[in-house]
Amino acid sequence: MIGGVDVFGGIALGLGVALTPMNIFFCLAGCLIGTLVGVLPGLGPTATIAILLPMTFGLPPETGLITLSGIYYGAQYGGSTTSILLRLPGEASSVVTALDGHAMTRNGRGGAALTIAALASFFAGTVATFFMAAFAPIMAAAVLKFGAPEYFMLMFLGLITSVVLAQGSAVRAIAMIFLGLLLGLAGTDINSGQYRYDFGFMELLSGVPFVPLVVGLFGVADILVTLENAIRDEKPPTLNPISSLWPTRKELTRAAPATVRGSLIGLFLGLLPGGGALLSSFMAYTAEKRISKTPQKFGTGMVEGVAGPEAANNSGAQTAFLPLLTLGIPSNAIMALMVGAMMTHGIVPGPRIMSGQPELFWGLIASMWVGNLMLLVINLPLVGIWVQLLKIRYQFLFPTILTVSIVGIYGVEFTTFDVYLTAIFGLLGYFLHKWRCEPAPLILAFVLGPMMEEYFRRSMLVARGDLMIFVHHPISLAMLVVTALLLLSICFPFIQKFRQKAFAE
Amino acid sequence: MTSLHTTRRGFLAAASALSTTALLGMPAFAQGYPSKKIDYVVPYNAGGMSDNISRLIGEKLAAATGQQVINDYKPGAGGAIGANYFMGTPADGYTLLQSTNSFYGIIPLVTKVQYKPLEDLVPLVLVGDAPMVIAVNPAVPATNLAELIAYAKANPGALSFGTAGKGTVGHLSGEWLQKRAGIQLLHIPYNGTPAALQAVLANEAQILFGPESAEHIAAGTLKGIAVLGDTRWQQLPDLPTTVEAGLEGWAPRSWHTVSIQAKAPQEVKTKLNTLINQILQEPSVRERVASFGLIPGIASYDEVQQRARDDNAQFGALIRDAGLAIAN
Repeated sequence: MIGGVDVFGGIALGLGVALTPMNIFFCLAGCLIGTLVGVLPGLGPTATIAILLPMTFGLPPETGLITLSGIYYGAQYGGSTTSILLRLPGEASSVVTALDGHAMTRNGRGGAALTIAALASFFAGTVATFFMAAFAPIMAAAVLKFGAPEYFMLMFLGLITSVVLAQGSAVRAIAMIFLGLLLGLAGTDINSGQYRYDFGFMELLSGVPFVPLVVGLFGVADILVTLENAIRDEKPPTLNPISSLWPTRKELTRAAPATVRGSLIGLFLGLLPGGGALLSSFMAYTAEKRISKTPQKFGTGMVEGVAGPEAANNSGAQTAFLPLLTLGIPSNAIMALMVGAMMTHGIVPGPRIMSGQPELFWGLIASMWVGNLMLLVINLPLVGIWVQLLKIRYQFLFPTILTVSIVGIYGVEFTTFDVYLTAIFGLLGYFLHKWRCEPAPLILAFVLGPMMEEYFRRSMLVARGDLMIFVHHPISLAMLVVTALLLLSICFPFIQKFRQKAFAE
Repeated sequence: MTSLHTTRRGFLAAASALSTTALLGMPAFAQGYPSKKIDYVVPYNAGGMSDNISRLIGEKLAAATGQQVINDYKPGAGGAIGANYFMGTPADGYTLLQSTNSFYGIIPLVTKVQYKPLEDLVPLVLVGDAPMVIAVNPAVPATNLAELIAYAKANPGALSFGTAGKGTVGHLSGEWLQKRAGIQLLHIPYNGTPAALQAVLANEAQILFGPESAEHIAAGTLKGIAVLGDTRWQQLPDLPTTVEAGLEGWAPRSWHTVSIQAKAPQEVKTKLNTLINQILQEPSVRERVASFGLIPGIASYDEVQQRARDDNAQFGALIRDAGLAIAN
């Protein structure tokens, strides 16, 4: 029994709410808008939901929230489209998709990558909906088991695994991690309130903004590199022609287990506020790379590297609703906007939602599954249209991408400062490419670094300076052991090589 | 009750201001005001509390004046970027700033801003107070303020309070309670209120200051101790105030206002105070303000200046004691 309604009763109630013609219509509208928004680089779901928020005030609360959540997961789908086709991740979680997704596009398998991303997301959405319906209270309790030391160890584990992400030399990957950590240091120190590396720019007081960094390092840098090649080779850049839009049977059988693993990883990590969404796709990618028999092929268009992170990303996007619906804690900026939407209807998100507003709670959960189904229906036919984008001559395509990116970036905070930053990071990304350095570990370190510092210092505050807090908390200890094993497994080949050498002499 | 008294006094002041203008007629400038569109600077991201308030007031102001009221979002640096931008606009009364008392008591003391509070920037109205509720994790053996203080005295340094960061009203509330009650608490800053709420639910920190605990107090997952100040909150009517519990005088508070540059003509300020107060007295608007989790308020122009002056002095003292002020 959950709040007076059992799980099956709850799902039935929820479907009753979600399947009214009006709610289906608004769910579809939300998903469509979200997909379009996700495709436009820079313009993220946060800005869109903020803009569209007042339009939902006139709707019943369930319908309003169903529309907004449609935009939210629609954007998750759309964001992977540009990542895969143009190497333009619009948000943190699709950075990982760009790695092998765009490589597939260069191999002429862009259509297949999009189809697999859509199928994996749908599967993950279905799994997440079911888990949320069945285990909401247990999952909510798990959130409260995560204190500062647990978060710190999770971030630490994430950072160590990011070395695994690198395709080339480990030394370069470590250099990129440090560069990312340094960039992440800018902003206001949370414990002392002191400003660090703000160089007199007020815009930097809340840190280096994320979207300009990602669009610069990936999108702009990629355009610069492609143009340089075009000028040097005196021929316009071309991609391999898209062969089939559908994945082959072999691709599907490789993607299926990756999807299941990714869904489960996202299910849990999505619950965690802050870095959860990003960590889940990075962790899923790392898991695939470690399990794979051919890890060296990752980055060259491995289908597992698309399916796993996309599934994780999507199931995480849904479980992110749980802390909000059960504890009243918004786990990211979009959930914070959902709080705003609920408040205007006089609904205060918190522990009483499930029992006090069962139609809202179950309706929203059921609409997630309906929304995922619609996204599949919308996106599969769209795959054919999206890949047509690649046929646009680059003289038109590149200026369009740049214009749309700049408009989107300006629209996040309404400041030209971010636009200049994008240009700077674009140049940096170009040089990183020249030096054969991967930007992905940089991004992960940039996001995780400040959080690690925050959680470490908070752990020390809570424990009154006792480092043993990381050992005394069982979840933290378990992650510490996993991290140690992972470090060993990374170092082991080196040690082995060293020993062979030593014995040879 | 104190709340009724304040409200009634506010009502009377606003009503008398209204009748005076009706009798004497408006000075020439104010009569023509507003003759063009009004820009409404919101120094935070769209979708938050400040945005909700600005939309509510902006819409009604447009209807009352027949002029467009256009929101302009300038988020960043805890509102300082928007405030600095606002100070660069013409001081003709056609640009308004959605703001809180932090713009008078806290932000100018801890951040570099291009204005002197009350000399360059003045509040026009009192939209409402965000009740600063003291809530504790159920594991804390205290059900009222006296018990909480006694427990903290018996176990110095054992209790910690979680806040949305250094220099927030929540942080200064904790500093205030320590000073007034003579107790020692550990401050744990979090990255935003949701994280602090989560920490207090998980008993990583024990005390939370602010309105966000209300649902959990109602559900029993947190214990309500008191509301800071002298006014009870309609959503938790059984919760006593800190004044009732014996801590007399000023207490940290958080209230929303609409600000204007001090250089704007006095007639315009008076007219805007009257216009917005009329809006704030509409029952439907009061209901909306209450649904945002605020205690709806009303204040004459002079009353709201006094409020801002008090906060500037009192928060200033707390900030200096906490070693937070920056050399400006």
